[in-house]
Amino acid sequence: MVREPLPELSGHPEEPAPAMFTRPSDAPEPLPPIHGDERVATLHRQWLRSTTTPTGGGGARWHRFHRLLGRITHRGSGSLDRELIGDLIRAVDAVAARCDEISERLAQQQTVLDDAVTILGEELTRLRAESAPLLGRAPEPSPLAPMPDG
Amino acid sequence: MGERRFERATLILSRHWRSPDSELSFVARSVAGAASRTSEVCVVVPGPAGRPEPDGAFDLLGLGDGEDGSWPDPARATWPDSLPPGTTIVVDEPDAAARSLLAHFAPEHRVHAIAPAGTAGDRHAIPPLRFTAPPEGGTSELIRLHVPINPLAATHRHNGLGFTGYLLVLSDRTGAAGVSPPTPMVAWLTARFPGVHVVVVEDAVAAVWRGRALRGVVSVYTRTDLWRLVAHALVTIDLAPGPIVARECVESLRFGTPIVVPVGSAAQPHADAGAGLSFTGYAELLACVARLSDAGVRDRLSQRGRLYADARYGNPDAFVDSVARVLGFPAVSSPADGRADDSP
Repeated sequence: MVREPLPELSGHPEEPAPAMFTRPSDAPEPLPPIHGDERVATLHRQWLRSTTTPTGGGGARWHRFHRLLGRITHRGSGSLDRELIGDLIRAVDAVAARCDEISERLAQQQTVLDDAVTILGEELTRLRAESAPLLGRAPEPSPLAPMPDG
Repeated sequence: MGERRFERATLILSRHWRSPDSELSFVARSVAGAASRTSEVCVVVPGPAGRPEPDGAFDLLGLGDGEDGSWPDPARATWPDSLPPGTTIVVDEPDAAARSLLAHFAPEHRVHAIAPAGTAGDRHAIPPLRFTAPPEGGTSELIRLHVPINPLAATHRHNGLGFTGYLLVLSDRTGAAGVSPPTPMVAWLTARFPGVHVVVVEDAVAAVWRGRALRGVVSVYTRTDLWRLVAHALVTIDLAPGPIVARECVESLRFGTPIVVPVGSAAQPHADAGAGLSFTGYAELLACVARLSDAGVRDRLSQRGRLYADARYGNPDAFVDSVARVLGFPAVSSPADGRADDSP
């Protein structure tokens, strides 16, 4: 392909071009809520089974799960253990809910940041371009360029 | 089919023949091909004298080696001696070395130049052939260069891009260490139009920018790749048009894509003909692109540009006849104005 660079278009050193981003400012896809995650749902189901009176053929499985919990906690099947596990599950729920809330806030912040970067960057560039003829291309530091030391 | 013999001859004195990436080479080869329809053609290049070197349709005659691929001094040059007295000479770049050769070996010959050179009033300057003309200018002396395209390129977008409707920028730099940061004009464009993809073709690579960030890089292997990029762009911004006819701009117009080009470049007559807009700096460039964001304006320029480019640069018969007319040979056909002869 033909390329015949024209010196006057190779850049205007007195008017630095806008700086580029090293990463896109786009807001990514929001994180999926962890409260409805399958692992949390499984924990709830198992806990529901362990606290429900066994009926019919389910009794053997309930006893096995109960023994499993007993081995994990090195305790018997007392009410104290059940309360502790219940508290643990509620704590997991609370942490999951807080994570979801933080994710939602982060997504909002990313959207706000992207909007700000996009809109302000566009307006600033348009202002610089429109004011260039008025300034007669007078040397001026680029607001987007790094500030000199000192 | 027997070999045609002509009483007339054209000598192509080409220093850029072997530089296929240059527009000078493209134009010199095209003119040689067109001239071969009405005259014998002899192509002379810098290089070892002696045995002709086959190169496609023509054999290349070496005139001798100069410094850095230039022409040799007349004293060391081997000028072809079998040319008819009325041979017309076309020199691609009439630099001092070429003019010295012509003054020594062909002082009485009619000489045309492809590239403009010298300053106004220079008595040694060779008048250049005209490949572009302002809208109000006459076209009788215009060489209606045939700039071929493949219309099928418009049927499929470039394989590496999943979108169309971008700003296509033909860069004004070569040999950069990487695509980032982009050339300054691209930085202005992507900062001013953050929601639009800006595709920058540079060194056989197309870099995609959006919102001041590099989004990806695809290769441009062939001319068809470039045509696909051109055909599916909103607008082609050529920051460094070719110096003779601005070939990529003409191709863009033939695909119906309006152009934005620098004032004073060889592409400005195309823009002035109603096929695009021209600019002098980044502020005007951004204003031009903002204006072309209007689909109505873009469609109007697209239609005008396609008609203009097809009529002026899309007819090989008209090209052959215009070369014959300007070189002083009788025409071989009756061109059909406005007819584009490229077929898939």
